[in-house]
Amino acid sequence: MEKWLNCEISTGQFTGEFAVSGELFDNSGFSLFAQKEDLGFPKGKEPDENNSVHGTIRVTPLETKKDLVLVELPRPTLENGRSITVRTEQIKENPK
Amino acid sequence: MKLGDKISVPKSGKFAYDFTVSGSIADFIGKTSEKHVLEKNRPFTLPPNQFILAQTLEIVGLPTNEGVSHLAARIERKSSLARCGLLVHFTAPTVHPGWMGPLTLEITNLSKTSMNLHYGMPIAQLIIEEVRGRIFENLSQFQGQSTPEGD
Repeated sequence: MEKWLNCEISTGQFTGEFAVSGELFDNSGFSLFAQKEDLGFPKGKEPDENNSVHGTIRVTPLETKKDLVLVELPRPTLENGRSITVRTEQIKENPK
Repeated sequence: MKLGDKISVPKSGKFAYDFTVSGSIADFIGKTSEKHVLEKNRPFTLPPNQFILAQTLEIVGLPTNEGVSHLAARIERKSSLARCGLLVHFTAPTVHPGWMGPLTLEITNLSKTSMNLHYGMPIAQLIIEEVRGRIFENLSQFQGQSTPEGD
């Protein structure tokens, strides 16, 4: 079952790849590189070299406890692993 | 495996990567990289001692289906290129079960002469291995903990 996590999307190291950053449950940050097909862009607008966009990234919920949810990202984060804990309010049903 | 058309060249400048600054590393790396797209008849010339990133032309998929033995893989260099001083990866050769996508290559020219990199040229080899037993998934951060925050 897939869901979508709010994030900030900017250009990556390759065309078709994007840099993604977001917040964990405790407001600390995470970042990763993701492929275009795993991202949701607002009104189809992609970031450019100078501007990032608020978008979403596809996640798979693994476990939920109260208002926290452990999700799996499509790629590992640069900080630590592929699974992160976020608040349920950060999760959306669809990418838009 | 063949060389794909995407090249990423790190920019130089008065900055330093700080991998302890969580949340903005990928964005910073993206902004400090120059993106190139290889064309069929126009190779990318890699000068001596230059490091770039590239991607394989092929997309590698190692699905993890319950009840079926799993596969992992390793990227290995081609000896013909290594003899000339071309490194195509120098760390993290493992492709874990569950991976889906092109593979990123860490290419460095260790020789004293430039090298032309062509779209579609054989660039690496993939060693595929069977994973026996259960795949280790990330343990839930909630296991053995008494508070929602994970304490």
